[in-house]
Amino acid sequence: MTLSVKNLSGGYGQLAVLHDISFDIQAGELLALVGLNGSGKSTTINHIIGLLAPKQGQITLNGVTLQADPVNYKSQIAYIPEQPVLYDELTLREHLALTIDVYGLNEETAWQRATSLLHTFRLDNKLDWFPTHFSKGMRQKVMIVMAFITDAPFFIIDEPFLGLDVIAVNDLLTLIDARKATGTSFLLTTHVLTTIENHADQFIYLRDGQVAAQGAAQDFATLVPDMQPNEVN
Amino acid sequence: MDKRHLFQQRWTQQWRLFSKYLRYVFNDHAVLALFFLLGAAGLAYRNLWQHAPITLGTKALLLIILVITLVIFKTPANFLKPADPVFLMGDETALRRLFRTATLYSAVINGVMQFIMTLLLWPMMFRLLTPYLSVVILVTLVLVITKIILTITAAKRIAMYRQAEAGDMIDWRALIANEEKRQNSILAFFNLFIDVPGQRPSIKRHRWADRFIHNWPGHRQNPLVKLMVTTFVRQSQFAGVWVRLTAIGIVAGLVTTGWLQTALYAILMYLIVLQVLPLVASHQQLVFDHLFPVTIGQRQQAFRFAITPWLVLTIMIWSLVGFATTPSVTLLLQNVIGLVVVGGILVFWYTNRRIANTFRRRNSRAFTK
Repeated sequence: MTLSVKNLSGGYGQLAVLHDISFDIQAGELLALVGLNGSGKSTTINHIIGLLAPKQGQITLNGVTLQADPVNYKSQIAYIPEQPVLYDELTLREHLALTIDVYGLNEETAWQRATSLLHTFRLDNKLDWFPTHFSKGMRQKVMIVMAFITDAPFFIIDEPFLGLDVIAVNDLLTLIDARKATGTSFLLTTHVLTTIENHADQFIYLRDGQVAAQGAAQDFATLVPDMQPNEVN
Repeated sequence: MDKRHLFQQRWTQQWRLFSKYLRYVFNDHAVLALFFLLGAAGLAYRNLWQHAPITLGTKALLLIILVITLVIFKTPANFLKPADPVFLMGDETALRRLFRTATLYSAVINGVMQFIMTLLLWPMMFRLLTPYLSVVILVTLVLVITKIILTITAAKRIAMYRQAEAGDMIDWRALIANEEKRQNSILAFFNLFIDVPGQRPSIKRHRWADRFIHNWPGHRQNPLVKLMVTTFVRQSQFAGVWVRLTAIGIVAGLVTTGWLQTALYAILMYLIVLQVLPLVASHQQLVFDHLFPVTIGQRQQAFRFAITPWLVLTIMIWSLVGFATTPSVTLLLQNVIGLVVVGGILVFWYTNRRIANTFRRRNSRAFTK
């Protein structure tokens, strides 16, 4: 098992957002966290990455909790946030070097991986650019490259398709499938399950901070009949 | 929002914000250090005033300094906000009134600043230029009026279109950009003491420094060293603090000697470390700063590696300046040993504690937010 979330309740200060959420993600699985705006998807992620503390429940990643061993716990996570955030004072090349250093990756292998990813996302001639020169979509691609050069066994991707062009969306899905095949697990939030329904293994449908439905991805339409495409979009 | 009293509202709003941040600026040992520095500066100025030779050279130098005070200039404020042209364009009168009042306000502030600066130079003017009070007052008045005219001209130059066909049209976009720049420069100062939301520092690469950054001591041992040094060099606020305080130290070294000099150097070194310390938490608004698998110990070590070479350079410069002013081996040793001890305490004890407290507090806040 990779990630285990048990009876998670939490939120911001006195505001309770999540109520008794439980799910597991096995090695090599992709779980899609689906829901409308304000349903609690990002709050769930904030609890998993440790920006918020659970009021109840427990989160373990390969048997480790954040409270018990924060360094080990964090080193297992690669995160792509919804809003791309980069260091204003670092170039793209320096962002990649920092990621390689912080995660203790083998330099040669990591740079080979980075070169290939940069080529895929058409960033290979922008290594000396600063974040201020990038469009939102390009920043999102930089975040993807930074995450995929790590060896993290668990990826969290928050609304990955916002701001990406069609080619980049396809490239990202190909990358996800390739990493899944090597045993990497994914937690991915989205408003639109249709884009990833062929790639997801399970789904959880959140409504008002509660699990309204969960099951195999191919059963989504049956289990969540009220979430029609027109409602989602 | 009452558009008849825009200036009053914006001015109050700005000072309410600034006073919130000023509490943090003047809420540390920095205030004590500042008082000590001002006292020492006063003493040094008195010595200079008593012993300055009355020659053509010193007279010319004083005149040059008086002219230079005219260049020390606060950018004219206009208190405009980006949304103003959109929401208030239906009634441009309110915006024009705001611009006029703000320009007048800036002119008065600049005039008062000019008066204070000139007043500080009065003792030197009496000693070097003239014994007559009326002449000194006349010079002061001319300088103050010139500064007021310069401020109004600068405000108009920003506001008016270059093209003759534009008539008296006002370039609101240029004014708003100017106001944002002005506010940012003030907030950047506060950002050295407390995290100012939304404050984006100005970044400049300085290619010549890349070689130093990539070979900085400790960068192979600790992944955060390069990030901190890069931030230090490329974010003007941090490098600026080091340059300014080191320069103040050089001036202090030229006009003092003995234990006073060593004490001044020690205080300035404390101020350098105190103001560069926010470098450690300068990326805390980025989620990666929380997610990177690094310990508090690694953050402390990275800061030590990042700051030490700068402090060593400072010690070398100040000690040499002290030696050049007073060629005494005793004073040289006193400065070097004193500053190494003070620097050691600051880097290995004081900053360690502050960094540990900052990050423990941040972690505990994250868990109860």
